[in-house]
Amino acid sequence: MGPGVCGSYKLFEPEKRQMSQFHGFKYYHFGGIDEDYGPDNNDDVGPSERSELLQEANLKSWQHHFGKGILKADIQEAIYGKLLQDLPFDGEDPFHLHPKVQKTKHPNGLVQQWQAGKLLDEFNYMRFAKACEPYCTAYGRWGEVKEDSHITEELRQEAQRRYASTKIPFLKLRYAYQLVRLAQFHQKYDDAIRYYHKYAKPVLWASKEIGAWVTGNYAGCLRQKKRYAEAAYAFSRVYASAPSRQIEARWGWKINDDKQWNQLMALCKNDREKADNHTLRAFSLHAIPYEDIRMMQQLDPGREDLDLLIVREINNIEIEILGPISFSSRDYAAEISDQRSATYAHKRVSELDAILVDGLAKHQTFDSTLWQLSHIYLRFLNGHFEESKNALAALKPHLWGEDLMRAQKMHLEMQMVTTKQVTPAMEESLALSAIDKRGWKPEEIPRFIHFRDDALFWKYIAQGDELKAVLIKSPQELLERYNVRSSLIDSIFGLEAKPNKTALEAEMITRLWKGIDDHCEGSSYFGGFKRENLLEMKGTALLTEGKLDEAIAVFSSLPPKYLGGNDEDLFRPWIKQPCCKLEEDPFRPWINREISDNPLWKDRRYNKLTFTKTLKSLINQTKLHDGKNHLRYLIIGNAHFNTLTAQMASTMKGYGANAEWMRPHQTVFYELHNIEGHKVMLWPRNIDTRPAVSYYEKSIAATDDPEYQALAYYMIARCERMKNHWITKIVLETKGEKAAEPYEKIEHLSPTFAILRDRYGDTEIVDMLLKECWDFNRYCSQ
Amino acid sequence: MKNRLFWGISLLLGLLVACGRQTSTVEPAFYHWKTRYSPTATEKESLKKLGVSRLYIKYFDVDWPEDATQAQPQARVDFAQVPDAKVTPTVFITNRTIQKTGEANCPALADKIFSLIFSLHPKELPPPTEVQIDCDWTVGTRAAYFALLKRLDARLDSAKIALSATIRLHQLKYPEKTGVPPVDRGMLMFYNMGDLDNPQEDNSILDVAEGQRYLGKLDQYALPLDAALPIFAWGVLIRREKPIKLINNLRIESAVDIPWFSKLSENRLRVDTSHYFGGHYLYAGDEIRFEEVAPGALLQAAQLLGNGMAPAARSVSLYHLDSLTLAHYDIQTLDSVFGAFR
Repeated sequence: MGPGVCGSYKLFEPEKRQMSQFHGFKYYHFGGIDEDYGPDNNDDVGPSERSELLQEANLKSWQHHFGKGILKADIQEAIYGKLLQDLPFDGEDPFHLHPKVQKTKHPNGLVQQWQAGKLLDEFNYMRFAKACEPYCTAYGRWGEVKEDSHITEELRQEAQRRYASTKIPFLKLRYAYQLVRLAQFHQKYDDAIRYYHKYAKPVLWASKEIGAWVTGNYAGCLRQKKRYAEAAYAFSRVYASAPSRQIEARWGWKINDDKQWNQLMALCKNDREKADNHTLRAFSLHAIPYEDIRMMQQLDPGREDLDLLIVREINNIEIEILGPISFSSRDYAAEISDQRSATYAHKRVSELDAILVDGLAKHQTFDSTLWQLSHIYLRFLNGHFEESKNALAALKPHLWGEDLMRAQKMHLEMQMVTTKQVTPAMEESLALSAIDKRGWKPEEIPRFIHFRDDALFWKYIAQGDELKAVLIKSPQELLERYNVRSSLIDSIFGLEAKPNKTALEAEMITRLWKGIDDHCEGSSYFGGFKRENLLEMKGTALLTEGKLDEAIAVFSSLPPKYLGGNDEDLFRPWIKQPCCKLEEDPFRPWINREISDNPLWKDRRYNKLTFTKTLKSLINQTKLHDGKNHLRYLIIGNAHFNTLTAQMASTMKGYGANAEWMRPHQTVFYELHNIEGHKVMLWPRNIDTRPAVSYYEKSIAATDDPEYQALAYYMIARCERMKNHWITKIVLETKGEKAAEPYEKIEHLSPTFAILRDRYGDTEIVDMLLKECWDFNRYCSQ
Repeated sequence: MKNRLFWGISLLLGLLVACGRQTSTVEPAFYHWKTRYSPTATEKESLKKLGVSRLYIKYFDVDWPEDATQAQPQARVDFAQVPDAKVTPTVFITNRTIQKTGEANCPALADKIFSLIFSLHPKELPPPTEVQIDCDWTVGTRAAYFALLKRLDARLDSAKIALSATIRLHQLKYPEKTGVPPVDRGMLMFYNMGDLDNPQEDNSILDVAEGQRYLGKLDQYALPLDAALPIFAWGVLIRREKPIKLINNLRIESAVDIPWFSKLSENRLRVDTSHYFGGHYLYAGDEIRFEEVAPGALLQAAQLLGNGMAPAARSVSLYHLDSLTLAHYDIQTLDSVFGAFR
C-alpha cells in the first residue's frame, strides 16, 4: 500500500458505503469529467435489471397479498424460478384462463392452492407476466427486446381484458403495470401515459410498492415526451415511496431550467414533497448540496436522507483534505492545514458544520449520534484538534457497537495528528487488550486492528522506527518481500528479550510467532514465523552485506533438514516453500538460455550455506591469483549480481530462469525523492551494483576473448538497467507516460548496450542476445 | 511566441504547397452523433452543397456502467429518416468496457456489436461497405481491444465489409506503444488535443500548434488514414476549480447577456447566483469555459493535415452534423476544408 488516501482515516468507510441506498448515487468520489450529451440523450429511463432489492420488494408485496398461508420461497419459485414453465398442464393453452393443473402432489404451497382451484386469478396473472417479460425486459441491452408489434398489441389488449375481469385490486394494479411497461418499452409513450391514468391511478393504493413501480414507468414516459417537471415530480414520488426504485428515480429525475423547477415546486402537494425534490437535486453527482440541505431542514426537518448527504459530503471533504497526505507525513497537522487552505474544503467544512450545529441545537436529526460524530470530525478537519479530541472523549462512554468503533478510529486519528511520537503510554493504550470494544461484533475486530496497524505503521515510519514499522503491519510480508538488513533481525530478537515490553510490543512479538488467523480486506496476515526463518533471513542479509564469514556462521547454525529444504514445518509462512535450497545455479549469468560450454555455471545445485562457502572460496582464489582468471571474476560478478535481485536477496530461489524484467530489491522505508522539482515518497531501490560491476570490469581486463568480454559487458548493462529502472518507475507513476518517455529509452536504461552493439557485433554472444533479450534487440533495431 | 509559431506554420504550409504534390481523391463526409437521425432542412441543404457522399452515423455506444455486470449498448440511433448518402455505421466503445470485458470475452462482445449494428441498419439502405469503431484504447486495453477488432473484422470480412477504427493523436505518435489496430483503415481525429482537465486550458478542442507536435510520423503510420476535423463547440463547467462537465453545443453568445453571469474573459463566465442553465444546475461560483473552433483555425488545421498526408483516396469528415453548429461556418469555409485535402 502506498501513501495517500488509503493510509488515512475515513469516518464512514466502509460501513456506510455498503448501505444499499448508496448504490447508484455515485457515492464514490468522481475525479474525472462527466461527459453529458445533453437532455436529449441518456433517456433510457425505465426499469433496470432485477436487482436483489427489487426481487425482495416484489416478493414482499406478493407475501402481503397472499397473507401468511404461502411461503416466500414458494412465491419465489413461481416468480423467479421455473415453476410455472415446468408445471404440467392438462393439455390446455397456458394463455387461457383457469388452466387445470394436474392433480399430482406438489410440494409448492401455491401449486397446492391452484390444484385445489384457489388463487387462480393470481396464477393467471403470473403466467401472463411471464408472457410479457420478453417484450419488456432488457431494454437497452443486446437486441433482446422482441419487436413484434403484433404480439405486444395482443398482450396489451389481453391485459386490458384481464384488468376488467379480475375483481382483485392488487391484480388490477399489476395488470396496469404490465400494460404501461409494454407500451413504454415499445415507445408508445402517449399510450403508456393514458394507461397509467386510466388503469393504474385508480388502484395505486392497492400496493405501495407496485404503485411506485408503475409510476416510475409513467415518469420515464413523461420524460420521453419532454414533460420534465411532471416527470421529475413522478420520479420524486417513486423515490419517496419505494426504496427498491430509488436509484432509477434518482437517475430519471431531471430538471433543465428554472421554469421547470418552479413548475415542479408548484406540483408538490406539501413541504415534504418539496423536500423530496431538494433531496434529489442535492444527490446530483457534482452537487454543492448546502442550499438544498438547508431547504430540506426547513421543509422536512431531520429526514433520513440528510444523513446520507452528510456522509457523502464528509467523504468528499476527506478526499480533498486528507487525500493528498497520509499517516506517513512527518507533520500531519501542518499538512492538514495546508490542504484546508489550498482547497475549497475549508469553506465546505464550515458550511456543513453550521448545518450540523443548527440541527443538533434544534434536535432536528435522524441519527443524532452520527450528527454528533460528524460535527466533532468536522471541527477536527478544520484544525481544532484539542477541542475535538476532548469532545470525542466526552462522547465515547455513551457509545456502543459500530458508533464506538467509529469513535475509536477517530480517536486514533486524532492521536496520530496531535502526537509527534508514538510513546510507550500510547502503546499501552493502543494494545487490543486495552481498547474499549463494547458491542463490537467479533468479525469487525480485525478491521479495527488493520486500521490501527496501518496508522501506526506510517507513524513508526515517520519517526524512523523501522523495527516497529515492520512488526506492526504484516511482518511476514515485509520481511519476505523486502530486503532487510541483518541488524533488523537482531533488533527483533532484542525486542523479544526486552524485559518490560509495552502491551503493544508484546502483542507485536506474539503476533510475529503466532501469526493472525483473522483475515480482513486489505490485510495480509498469515501464520507465524519460526526462529529458523529469521536466522535464515539474517544469514541472507549478511550475505548481501558482504559479510560472508558471519553469514556462514548463521547458516551453519541451521538444522541440515532446513538447509536442504526438506522440512515443511520450517517453511516460511509467506511463501510456503523451502528457502535455503537454491533452485538455480547462482553463478549463472542473467541470460535465459544456458551457455553450455562452460562447466562453471552449468546448472549446479547449492543451498545458501554451500553457495556462501563457494563464493568465499572463489573470492579468496582471486586474491591469490589476481589478474589471472577472467572466468572466476565473471562468475563472482554473477554471484554478486544475482544476490542483488529481489528474489535472490530475500529467498534466493527461482531467479533467472523466467524473469524477463529485473526488479531491484526494495527496503522497508519510503524516502523522499525530488524528481524534476516534484516531491514524491517512494520505496527506494537501494542497490549497490558496484561489487558486481567491479568484477565484470576485472573480467574484461583479464581476457582478450571478445566473447567473454561481450558477456561481461552485457552483465554490466543489466546492472545499469536494474539501477535505472526505478527512476523510470518514479517518473511514470508520478508524472505520467509523457514525462517518463525519455527515461524509458533503452539507451538511458542501459548505456553499455552501445559498447556491445558497436564493438562486439560480430560475436556469438551478441548474436544470441539479439535473439533472447528483447530490450537489447529493440535497442539494436532502433 | 504564439505569433511566431503561427508564421512558422504558415511558412511551412506555403512551402509545402509551393513544392507541388500529387492530388488526393477526397470523399467529403460528416459524423452524425445524435440518437435520432432526423436532419433538418438546413442540414440536408448543407450536405448537398458540400457534396457530402458519406455519413458516419453513430449507431450506439457500448459502455459498462459502474453497477452493471456486463457491457451494454446505449443511446441506440433511431432513424426518423432514411439517410441519402453512403452510411458507415459507427460504434463508440468506452475504454472501461474493454478493460472490464477482458481479452477472453472481447470476441463475444464483437459478435453482439456485429448483430446489433445490422439490426439497427435501415432496411431501405444497401448493406454498408464499412463499419467504424471508435475507442480511446490504451496500452493496458490494447490486447483486448485488438481481439475485439479482429473478431469483428472476421465477421465483416465474410460480408465483404471493411472495418475502420478511429485513431487519436497520441496513438498516431506512439504506435510502438499503443499498437496499430488490426483494421482496414484508420480515421485520424484531429481534435481534442488540449488538456480538458486543466482549468487553465484555453481551448482543448483545437490548437493547431499543439496538433502539429503529433504529426511527425504521419506519413509512416501503418494504416491508410482518413481524417476527421472538429466543428463542434462546448462549455466546460468548472466547479471548485475542477472541470466537471461538458455542456455540448454551448457558445458564449447564448449566455453572455444573462444577468447572473459575470464575464471573466473572452471565453469565460462566472455564475453569480445558483440557477439552471443548459440543462444543468449551476452553483454560485461555478465557471464556464466556452470552447469552439474558429473558421480560420479549422482551415489552418485542414491545410496542415492535408499537406502532411500522403496523396491517396480518403474520406474527410467533419464532426458533427448539427444545424446550430453549421450556422457558425459558411459553406465556402467548409468547402475549403475539404479542398485542403485534394
